[in-house]
Parts: sequence; structure tokens; C-alpha cells
Amino acid sequence: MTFRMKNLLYIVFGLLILSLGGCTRDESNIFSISPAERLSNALKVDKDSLVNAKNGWVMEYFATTASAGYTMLVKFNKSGQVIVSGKSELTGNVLFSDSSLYEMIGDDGPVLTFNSYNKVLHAFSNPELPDGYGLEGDYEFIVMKNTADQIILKGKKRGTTILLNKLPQNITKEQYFAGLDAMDSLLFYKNSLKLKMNIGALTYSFTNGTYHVFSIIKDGAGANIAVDAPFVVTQTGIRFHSVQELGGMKFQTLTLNEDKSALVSLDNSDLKLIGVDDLAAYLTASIKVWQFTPVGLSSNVEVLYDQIIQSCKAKYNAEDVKLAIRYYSTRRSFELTLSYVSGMVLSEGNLDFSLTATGKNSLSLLYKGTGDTSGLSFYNDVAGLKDFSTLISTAFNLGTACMINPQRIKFTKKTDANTWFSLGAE
Amino acid sequence: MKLKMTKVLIICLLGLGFISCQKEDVLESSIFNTTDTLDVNSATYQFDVWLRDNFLKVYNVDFRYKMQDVGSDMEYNLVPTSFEKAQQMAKLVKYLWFDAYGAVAGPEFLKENGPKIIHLIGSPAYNPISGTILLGTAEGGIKVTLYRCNDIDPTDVRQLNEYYFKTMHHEFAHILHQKKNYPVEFSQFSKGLYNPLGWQYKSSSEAASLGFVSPYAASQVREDFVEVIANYLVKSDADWNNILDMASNAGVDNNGVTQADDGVDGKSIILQKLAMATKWLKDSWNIDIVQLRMEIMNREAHINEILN
Repeated sequence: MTFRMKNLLYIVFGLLILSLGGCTRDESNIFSISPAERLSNALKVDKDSLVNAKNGWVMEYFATTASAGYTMLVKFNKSGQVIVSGKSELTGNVLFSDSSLYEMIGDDGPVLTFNSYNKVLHAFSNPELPDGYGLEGDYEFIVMKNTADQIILKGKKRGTTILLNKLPQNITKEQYFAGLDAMDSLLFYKNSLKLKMNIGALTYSFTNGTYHVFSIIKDGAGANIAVDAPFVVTQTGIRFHSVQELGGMKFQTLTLNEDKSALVSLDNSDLKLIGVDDLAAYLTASIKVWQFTPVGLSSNVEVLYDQIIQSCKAKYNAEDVKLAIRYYSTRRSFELTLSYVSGMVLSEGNLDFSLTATGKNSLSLLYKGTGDTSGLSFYNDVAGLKDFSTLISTAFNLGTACMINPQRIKFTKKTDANTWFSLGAE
Repeated sequence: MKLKMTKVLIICLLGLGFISCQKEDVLESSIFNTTDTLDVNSATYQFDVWLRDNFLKVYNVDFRYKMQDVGSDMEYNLVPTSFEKAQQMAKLVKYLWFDAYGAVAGPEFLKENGPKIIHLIGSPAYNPISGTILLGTAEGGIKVTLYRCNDIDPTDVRQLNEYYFKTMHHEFAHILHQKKNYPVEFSQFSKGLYNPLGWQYKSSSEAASLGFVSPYAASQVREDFVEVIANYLVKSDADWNNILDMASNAGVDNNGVTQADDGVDGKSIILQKLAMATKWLKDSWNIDIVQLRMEIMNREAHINEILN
């Protein structure tokens, strides 16, 4: 036997011992049960948690990390059935529920799978519009954390974080979605405002919130460095999909404060998303149509308002008579606009007004004595319009129930608190 | 020689080491667990029992209606089948496909050669780049995946055939020819006319005039072979004759423009392909394709009876 042959045999026997040793070594387990048993137990615990929520769960769902958040209510049954309820553009904006199947499976750890088609949940995954893609949402979720009132899920393909929050027992799904609608309407109805957050000397603008993906940009920076931040509307405000960091400050959940002037960070009350700071400045820069409505008028204003409506009906056989204040770019002026429909034809007349801010939340209105042909004709022919124009040509204090997104603004005459009217955004 | 011996020794010893860690499974007659583990409290219990009795016990088939994304192609965006559609699909697949083959070739034939897993997917599998959709796949002769099951309309036989059963016959023919190859001469019928990347731009008429029963048949030889079988089995007499009529005339493209004479007698080619496929099925598998087609047509006339 050569020296080389000897060495090779040593190697061979060495390997043999190692390979046999691999089968016999007694490793001490850091867990008392096997991985399979641990997974099996975890699946049972997770299923029990899902089922034991008597009124079900609120699912805050994001199809992808770049898309808007949606809320669904999910009620799990021990038999493997699940009822998912939703109300969004995907359900035609009506509350809709569908029943399907779910299962807890061992996959990438404990995975909650909705493995038969559910018209509400799988609408986010249907590969249509555009074909092959759709909204690309997940319907299989890894259970990341399971606590008494919350289960944190992670979408298996897209990696989005999805929360299941236990739904309180004393609320129906109709009430829950009504609450969400109310918050959404309060924050984003009629093209939401540009919201602002001040951090130290920096100001950040949050725009396009209507579709639940804010575009965030630092004031003074170019539009091309805007950051998209998807969020979901909650009962108390909004929650971003992921933690936002601006100017070194972090926030994720924002709650509408009591006077409805700001969305305030849950973790740091100094971090606020503010809507309107000054109603006078807001109105004088507004391009919305602000309409007078019969329910928001003091008695002396209401008398003249009714006179105008009745006069239009009598003189022009008018229907749908409206009186509004708006900025009219063609005339480069604010206008008191009177419009009505008669015989399918819309008629409109404008009287020129100045709208001048006189201080924070105060402004003055003044009829300039001019207008377009129809406006001047109405001014002379429609009973009450002349007096109405005179009555509102004065200084007002302004107020609203929701400064973060004013939808109705109350004008109270500075020198007479009994003269007031409200304008609603159309 | 010394070196060679040493290598053998090392391989043997290491092999011994690995073998000592393994546990041999005893081969069983079914690859699935046929003992009754169904949960009587499950919402799907009744259906699961039906599947066990009608698929697992009879055909040794695991009918998977609860979608498993790990069991699907993760590259596609897909959704599961609804429970309602899955139940309809299961009854139709059994009646129009398994029982039809069972009646002609016997259940043992399917136990031996049929797919072992049927996996239902609710949506189509879109290929956005090519603008095509996948209707079905057969993997390794074991598993058939059917897509678009949420669109099933049990009252529309033509749709059932076009989207599902033609696909199943197509995929099963693949399984069969992977076990016993089709005659090599088949590839000579349309040699030089196959286009794996551009078949989808051909109209049915253009494909037929060139001797293909469908545009997809013009993609590859093996697809051509199984398309002849699948189309012949599911097309009504009128639809099959329509293919032959198109094949007898000049092709008309998707814009309605009649193409120049391609010099191919499409009808003759299709009929020769069918004759070769018919002989192969008879000789290799003892299946009479005409009898099988009659069985399927007869069953199609009675679909309502099995759905109610």
C-alpha cells in the first residue's frame, strides 16, 4: 500500500464516521416539541383567534404597497366558511357581502388562505382591467403576529401589511361602514384640500387624498420628488400603509382631533395634518361653487331668498332655482349667480361682487353694481334680488364645523349676529 | 486502478451513510390518503364526501377545488374558483370526461393513465405580452389545471367544450403521447408551417386552409396532434364540418381579407391527421375515437340531469 493510498483510506473512513455520526448524534432541542407540532399548534391557535371574534374582524387591506387602502369586515366560521363585507367602488359603492371558504395552512409558517372565490375580497386579485394584472392584491396571508385584539398579516406575494382588528360586538356592519363613509366624506368630500404638515421650519403638502394615496412633497421642492403614501380611512382618521418619515419625524396613524381642524399623529401630538387655517383666505382663493341652501339662512335672509325663488318660478316657469357665490374666470370676478331650468334650458345670470379678506376668518362682500346682461336683467326683474344683494354686501365673520375640509361655511354679519347664511360646496 | 477503486469506495460508503438515514415508504395502491379524514363539521363536508366517492375511489383522482397558489404558476395573477362553480365543474368533469372515457375504455384505464390531480383555478391565466390566455396545463402526466372556472355556464355546451373539455382532452392526449409517442410521420404533414411565436395572429380560417384544426395547432407538432384529437372529440358535426369547409377554401385573415392560394389541400391534410390519430389511439390504447365521440355527444344532451 502506497503512502497516497493510505491517506485516501483515512479520508474514506473519516467521511464514513462523519456520515454515520450525522444520523446518531443526539442534539438537544431548544423547543420541547417538533417543528411540525409547533406549526400545527400555531395553526390551531390562529384559527381559534379568527373564529372566536364574535363580531368578526375589520380588515385594513392594501392590494400593493403603492395602492390605496380598503376596509373589509370579515367574519370567520369554525366550519371553514367566511363572510366578507365591503363597500367601495369595487362593490358599486353599496354594502355587499359574500360567503366563501378559508383555511389556515402551513406554508411560509401559518398562512391564512381565502381559497375559494369571494366577490368582495378577490375583486382585488382578479387579473382583469388590465388583463393579466388587475389590482394584483393578495388573498393568502402569512400570520406575523396574533394578539388579543389584533392580527398582523403579510400578503404572501406583494408583501403588504394587512391588519385584522377585532370589531366591537355592539356595532353592525352597516353602522361601521356608515362611520367610515362619514369620516371619508368629512376629510375628502368634493376634492379634498391640500393638507399641510409643519415640521420645524419645513412644510410638507399632502395632496390627492380623495383616492387614498397622498402625494407628499416638501414645499419648494420640485413636483418630481413627490412621494406617494397610500392610506386607509378608519373610524377615527387615517392609517398609512407604512410608517412615514418626514424631517426625521415618524408617523403612521393619524386621528381627527375634536374640533376637526387637524389629523394628529397617535404617537406625537405635535405632528398634525392641517387643512384650512383661515377661511377668508381659503374662500378668496377658492374655485368651488358655494351655494345658498334654504336650511342655512337666518329669517331675514330666508325671506328674501324665498322671494327670489318664488319670483323666478312665477316669471320664468323656472325649476331648480339656485343661488350661489363663485369665482367666474371669464368675468375675472366673484359672482352672485342666479340659475334655473325652464323647458330643459338652463338660464344663468351673474352679478359682480368683490370678496375681500379683512382678517383671519373674516371678509366683506360688496356688489359692484355690474354684471352680465342676464344678471342685470334679473337684478331689475326678480323680486327680492336687489334687496338680497344689498343685504349681503357687508362684512362677515366666518365659521365652519370642519376646518380640515370645510364643506359648509357660515357667514355671520359682523354688526348683527341675527343676520347669517351658510354656503355649501357644490 | 487504485484511484478508481478509491472513488467507488467513497461513493459506496457515503451512499451507505445516506441510506441509513432514509425510511423506505411502502408502495400503496393510491398515492393519496384514501382513509376517511373528512371533517363532518366542515362547510364542505357533503361535497368532499361526493368527491371522495366519485373521483378518489373510482378514478384515484384528487379533485382540488380549493386553490393552492403553491400548486399553481406563481408568475400569473390568479384567483380561486367559487365554491358554487367548483361543484358544477366537478359534476361536469366527472360526467362529460371521466365517465365518458370510463364507459369506452373502462375505469382501470383512467386509474392507470388518467390525471391524478385536477386543480381548478377561477380566472384565466393571462399572458399580457403575447395577448393570449392559458386555458389549461398538464404537468408531468399527473396534474391537469383548468383555468377560467368562474366563467362556467353549464347550459352552454359549446362554451363548456371550448374552455374546459377541449382543454381536458387536449391535456390528456399530451399525457398519453408522453407515455406512447405518436407516429413520427405525423410531423411530416405540416412540416415548415409551424410557428410557435406567431400562431395567435392566424385566424381559424387561415389555420384550416393550411391543414390545422385550430390556430393553436399551428404552434408545434405535438400541439397539432392533440388538437386534432381534442377538436374532433368535442366539436358537433356542424362545427367539425365547418372546419373542413374552411380547410377546403382559401384562408380569410382576421381583417376579413382573403389570402392567396397557399397550395395546401387543408381538408385532406386534416383528415389524414385525424386518421393517423385515430389509428394511434386504437393501436396504442385500444380506444375507438368515434365511439368515444358518440359517448360524449350523448352525454352532452343530458347535462341538465346531472346538475339538478
